[in-house]
Amino acid sequence: MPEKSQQYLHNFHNYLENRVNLLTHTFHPKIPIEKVRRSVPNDVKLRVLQNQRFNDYLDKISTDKDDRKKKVFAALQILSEMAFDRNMIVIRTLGSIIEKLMGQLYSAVHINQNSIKNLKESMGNQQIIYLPCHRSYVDFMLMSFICFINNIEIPSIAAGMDFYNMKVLGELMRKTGAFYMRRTFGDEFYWNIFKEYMHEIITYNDFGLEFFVEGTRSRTCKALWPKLGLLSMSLEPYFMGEVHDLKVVPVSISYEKVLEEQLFVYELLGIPKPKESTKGFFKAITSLKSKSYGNMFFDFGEPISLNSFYGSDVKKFNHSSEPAHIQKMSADEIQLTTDLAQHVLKQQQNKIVIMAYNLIALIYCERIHTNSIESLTFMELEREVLKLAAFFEELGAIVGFDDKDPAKNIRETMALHDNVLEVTGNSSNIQLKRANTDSNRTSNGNLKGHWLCKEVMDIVVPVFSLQLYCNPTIYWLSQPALFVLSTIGQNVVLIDDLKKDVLWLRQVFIYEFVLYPRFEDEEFDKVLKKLLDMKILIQSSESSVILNEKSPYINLLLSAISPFFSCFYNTSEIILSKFIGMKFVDKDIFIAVQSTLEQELLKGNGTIHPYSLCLESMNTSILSLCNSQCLFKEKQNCVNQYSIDEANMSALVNRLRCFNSRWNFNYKYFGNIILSKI
Amino acid sequence: MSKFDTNLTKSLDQSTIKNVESVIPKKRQDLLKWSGWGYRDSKFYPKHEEVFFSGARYPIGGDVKLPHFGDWIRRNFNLKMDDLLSQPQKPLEYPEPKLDEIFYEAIQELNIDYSITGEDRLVRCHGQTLHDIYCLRNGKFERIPDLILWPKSHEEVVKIVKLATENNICIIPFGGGTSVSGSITCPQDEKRCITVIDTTQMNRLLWLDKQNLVACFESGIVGQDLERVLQEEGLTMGHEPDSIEFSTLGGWVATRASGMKKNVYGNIEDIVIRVKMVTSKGILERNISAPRVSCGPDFNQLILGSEGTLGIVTEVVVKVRPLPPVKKYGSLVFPDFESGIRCLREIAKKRCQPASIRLMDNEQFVFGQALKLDTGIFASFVDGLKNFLLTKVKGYDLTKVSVATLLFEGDKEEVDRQEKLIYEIADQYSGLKAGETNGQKGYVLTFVIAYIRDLGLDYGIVAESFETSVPWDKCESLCRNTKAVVRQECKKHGIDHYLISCRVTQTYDAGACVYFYFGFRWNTECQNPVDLYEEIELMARNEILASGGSISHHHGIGKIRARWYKQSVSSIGVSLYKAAKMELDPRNIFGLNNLLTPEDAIDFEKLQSKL
Ligand SMILES: Cc1cc2nc3c(=O)[nH]c(=O)nc-3n(C[C@H](O)[C@H](O)[C@H](O)COP(=O)(O)OP(=O)(O)OC[C@H]3O[C@@H](n4cnc5c(N)ncnc54)[C@H](O)[C@@H]3O)c2cc1C
Repeated sequence: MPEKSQQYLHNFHNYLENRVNLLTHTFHPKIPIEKVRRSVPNDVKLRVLQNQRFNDYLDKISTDKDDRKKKVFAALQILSEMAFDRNMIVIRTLGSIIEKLMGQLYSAVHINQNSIKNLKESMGNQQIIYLPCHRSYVDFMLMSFICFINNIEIPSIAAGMDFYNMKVLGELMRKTGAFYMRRTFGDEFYWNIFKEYMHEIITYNDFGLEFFVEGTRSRTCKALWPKLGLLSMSLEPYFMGEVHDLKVVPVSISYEKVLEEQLFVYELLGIPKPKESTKGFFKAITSLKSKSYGNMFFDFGEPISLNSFYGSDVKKFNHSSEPAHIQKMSADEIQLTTDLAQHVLKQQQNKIVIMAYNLIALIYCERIHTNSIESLTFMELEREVLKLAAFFEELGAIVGFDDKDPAKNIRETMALHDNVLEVTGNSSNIQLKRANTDSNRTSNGNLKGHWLCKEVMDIVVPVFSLQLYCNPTIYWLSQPALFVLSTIGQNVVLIDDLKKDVLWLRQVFIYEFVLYPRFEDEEFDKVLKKLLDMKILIQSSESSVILNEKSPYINLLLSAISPFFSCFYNTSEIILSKFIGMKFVDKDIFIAVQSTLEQELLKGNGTIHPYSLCLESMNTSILSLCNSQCLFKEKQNCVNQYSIDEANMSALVNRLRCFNSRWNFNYKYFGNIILSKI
Repeated sequence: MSKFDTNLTKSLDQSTIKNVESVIPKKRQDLLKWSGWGYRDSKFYPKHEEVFFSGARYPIGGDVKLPHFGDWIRRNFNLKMDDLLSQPQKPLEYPEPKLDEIFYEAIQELNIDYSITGEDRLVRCHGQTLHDIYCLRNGKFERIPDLILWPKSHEEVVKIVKLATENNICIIPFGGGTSVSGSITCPQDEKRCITVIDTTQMNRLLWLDKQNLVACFESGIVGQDLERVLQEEGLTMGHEPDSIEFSTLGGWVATRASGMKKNVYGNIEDIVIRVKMVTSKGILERNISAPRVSCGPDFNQLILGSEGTLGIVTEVVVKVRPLPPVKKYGSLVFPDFESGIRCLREIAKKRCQPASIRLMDNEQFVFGQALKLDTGIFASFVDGLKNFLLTKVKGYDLTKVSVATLLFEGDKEEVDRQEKLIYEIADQYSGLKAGETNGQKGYVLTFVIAYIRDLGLDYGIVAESFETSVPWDKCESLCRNTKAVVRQECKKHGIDHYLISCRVTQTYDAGACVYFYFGFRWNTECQNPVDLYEEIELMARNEILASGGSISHHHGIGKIRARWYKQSVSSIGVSLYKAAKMELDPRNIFGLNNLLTPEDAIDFEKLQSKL
């Protein structure tokens, strides 16, 4: 393992080697913010009803006293549905079960002890908001569990109603600190209550708060564009001067294998996940093979104090002269909130541990891209993995794998993922393992897109599964790849022109790769420097660069973004060819793209990456097209309706085509294996 | 031109804003008299030698006969009810509006409500001084505003003020037009385009903070609307000047108004926490809501009483109070005015004043009797048993007695305690409890009395009130001296029929507020009764000042009291005001020219050429 990573990972201890009995563990937690009196969960709830802003609102919407009473009652009911609770017995019992399960599921649970020490030292003086990345339901349990065993107060956790609906489990989780948030929009009454509840959680409660800035589990295992709702509710009391500071703690959790892997793959293809039920959940968990999920890394990021993060950007004085409850956050403050969200996201990503299988997946894809998969033997793979590990480390990532015996590590991780790649033949060739999908899948109405045939599904499922392990590395690769894309096939490129192209591509992939425009200048300079340092680009004059065609990383970078490029490009082209002059909805696009591409794949068209069938990528593409005014969006009965701006859209597609023509993409391999089956 | 300072920008939650439907329409003349006081449908009028009051707005009743009032008038002014002078006629023509093209166009572009019709301009060229009303009735206004604007928010005001500053337009902030100092009267020698900013469409409740009991209103809200809105919430601001039906919050701030119930709620300066004022240089506002601060001279105090000359007040944060559960009236009768004053002084010393306490001299007591009805609470004071008590048992002389009216507010125990204490003190000064209804009558009549002047003018009687504040030790002598001077002046000018009376309307630790009512009937040869009136009032004011009284307790300086400003605040004080004016408004955009006499006025042309 590269040296820097090794040093860093040295602070991680494998919990499973030193387990705790949760039933007897003494819990004397550090409190985020120590006040004269500890807060009481029930009071958080009741304080909403006493809250001035909420009372003013009630006054406003009530027709008379009786009506007001009814509304107060309704509010109380909503609060009962929403509010978290605390019951140590439940925490211990549920914790023990989770502890046992972890012991069974994982071969190691690495926890950064240093980061825990760091966090605990910083605690006591301000409310804490924990913001973990969200890749799995396991994240939920894990945070609370780790807090518990490390004597950190267990935070209240914003959870979706899907948990609430799991009857027993929902109630149990409530007692460990979960509070529930509906996913309804436009219900003003509900949201006013929720907002006040959040307000009390920040200003009164001392437990700490946890939610996911990404809003939901990332089915792609890539970062999602952060959502501002909960974060701005949490920050509002800070901007209003009601709390002197807040501490935001990014949390990075990395999985060698994600529990929901196959569920995600199906969801990304538009085949809806089964509804969560408690029984189903336990059944799913207990049917899991022992130690079949490998390693897991848990790391608290450096706590971010808002005061020091914002420095003089925040004029807290702005709100102090009026009562807080009648003010709104200003546009500037919403901007600052977005800045923070984006910063947190980067901090999460920086600490995600890149594991051997991520590297293997990338290498495999590169081989497909360069049409040299046949020559990839196990020996070759081992060498490549070591090289790539060094590359990631140079990019700044933490790479975690056992380099004392890399072959063993690779073999083990390959075994964990034997549903995706297999080692075959005498020369130990690496091959994609065709899935055997259920050909009788009902084409029920829940399908989000097009019903894909078995021939395609059997290939697409392992391709998507594999992509899920490329995706955690995209954070590191996407930006360098855009530079390569902008310079490949060109001669000398002026840095100014390069920047224009890169910024344009950033716009295109703004949501796919979470490329925050306010970071663009800084990131451009940083990546440029890095690529020069790594000799991927060569400075040809003070104001120009040239791509180093000999760099071994060019194909790797291009192949890493090619699935997304392919999806965006194909989606845009298909929209342009099918929907001019029409009004259409998301599903129309999904079906059109999936069905068109399915046909092409069946024809063996090698210019289409199978990942182009991914609905999530289509989604980010649509968002980006709206953002660059190629599509117009209007809400009709809560459904997005789109229409095309033909001029903008054609211009965009032309420019993409131009980029596309600079490299020769070839996914014939996938086409061939699909064809071979027919 | 220097940059306009916008101070801190706020992001208020728009959903907490409450729009207020005003009782007073935007076209005020539809509801209000163009030529006098109050509602069009409410006035005193004669019929068959009797006086009636029309309209059903006030508790005395609709189209009610006042059986004793005619007599009183005949007795005091020697008139017959058919001696009516001709009624004022609305002008047929109005002066052409003098518009500044660039400004006018820009205003239209900004989509700000405006009017240039003669009627809209005429009804906003004046306040309620005798001088104003007399000029109005006799068509004597030569200069009236050129353009009326109705901004709807602070932001619109900012735009107007910026534009006006760029184009050198004269701005007059106009609230309810109830000023009795000449402060709102259109400056007759102004050459620039005169633009009235009528604030009344800017009258929202921006927010209400029930926890701290403060509210933020836009400045154009009319008193009665403000109280109605608050009372719907179970709250009150408790500021009740007698003009509350028509005057505005911004006007109160700009004039340093005082309300009847100041003992409980304070005067406007005690009620106001923060004020936002748009000046030609930018926005002046204290950015702190804390209840009291020590941060250098308090610039709120510069805004309070600025009478529209430094800028326009757009938003005001005020204290509010829960509505008191108990409201109770009371009255006391004293053998004479002097013992009444001494009693009030003692009450003030013990600091147990009820919400309001007022003491009328005998003339006013008699006048009050003249307004009695034969039935209801307005039936006469001295009827029946009380008559007997007053005249026989205690030996009170009805031609000397003086009456105090009381208003208690608070919870029951508090009111009971106050009552008990007050009646105990009164007893020491031969004050006799005279019942609740008499007290109530006094307060209820407050609003009706303001209509009497118009009736007077119909008969050739000019009348006005003027007020002062005075230390306790000088209170009696001031009242005596001032009345004496007025009598003497009347004699000198051959005025036979007049009324001079006074009352104490407010009490403080260190003194009281005294109101004088003076009216006389002019004989036909008198060319300008208003000049004569003002001459006598001038003598009276000189006497007031000589007797230790002040230039004004709450009406303000305006134009008619400017000559005493310097002696009231010292020469350095005047320089300081002028310095503030030159700093905030170097082009005299807010060109009402209040406070300073023409001799003291700033030479803005010279100032401009220097800049
Ligand atoms: C019958 C009667 C009874 C009265 N009783 C009382 C009383 O009990 N107590 C008392 O204090 N006064 C009383 N007054 C006087 C008068 O009502 C007050 O001075 C009142 O404050 C004026 O308010 P307004 O809205 O009518 O102002 P206006 O008459 O419109 O204006 C008065 C002055 O304030 C300025 N002004 C108005 N609004 C603003 C603004 N938003 N920003 C800056 N300047 C502004 C004007 O330019 C002008 O100089 C009485 C008047 C009458 C006619």
